[in-house]
Amino acid sequence: MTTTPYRPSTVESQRPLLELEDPAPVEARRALVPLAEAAGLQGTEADDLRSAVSEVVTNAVMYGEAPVRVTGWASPGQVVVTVSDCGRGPSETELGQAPLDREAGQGGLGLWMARQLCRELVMGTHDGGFTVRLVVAADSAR
Amino acid sequence: MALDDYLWIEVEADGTSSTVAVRGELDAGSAPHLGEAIAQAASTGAPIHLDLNEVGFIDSSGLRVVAEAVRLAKEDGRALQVTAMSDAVRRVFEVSGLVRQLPS
Repeated sequence: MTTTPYRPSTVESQRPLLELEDPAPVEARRALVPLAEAAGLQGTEADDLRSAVSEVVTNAVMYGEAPVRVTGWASPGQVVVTVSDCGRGPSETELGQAPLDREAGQGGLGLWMARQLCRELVMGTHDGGFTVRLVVAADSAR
Repeated sequence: MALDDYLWIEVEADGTSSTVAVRGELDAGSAPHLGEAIAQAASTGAPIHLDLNEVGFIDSSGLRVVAEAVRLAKEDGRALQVTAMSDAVRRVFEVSGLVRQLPS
């Protein structure tokens, strides 16, 4: 498991626009639409948000421990989403640092994809489990 | 939650080739169905045309299914071509690097 402690960002103390418990990935993707709209993310930016969050939610559902909580905040040009579960996080070798065509196993591709699509992706463990935070920003806000 | 447009797959064989047309979203829940449809089409031995033009979303699970189908076709000496893909699919294929593995 990863032993990096999770450090919440200041935005996480604000009231969220999105809160889901144990969503299927397809439900999480659909729930992101108003969040992207509130932030003014369009086209590829909104698609990238959808892809990145979907990958992380899929990992949490498949490899984490329920309940999985998805929480989202929107500000002009930027969306922050946290995906938490009650597990202990992936092992060091599953941390999504590797590209698709590596030989050993298939794990980690989703997280690797999510990293490519986000402005920021951080993760860590805490008392209640494991959290991934994703930040997707409009080009003008990068 | 109504998910009527989650996934729809149509397989059409005209004697010389099979077209697998997909509409909807390919993720960990739905991608295995595409794998089955491609395997079924492959069993005839005819060349396969995979049409992803109406796929609005694909994730790493969907990519793996397509990559595996391409690998198996190559191994068996069969033709499998992705004849069309939506912008959303193309973006994910490009980001993943898988676009380089597709037969041109």
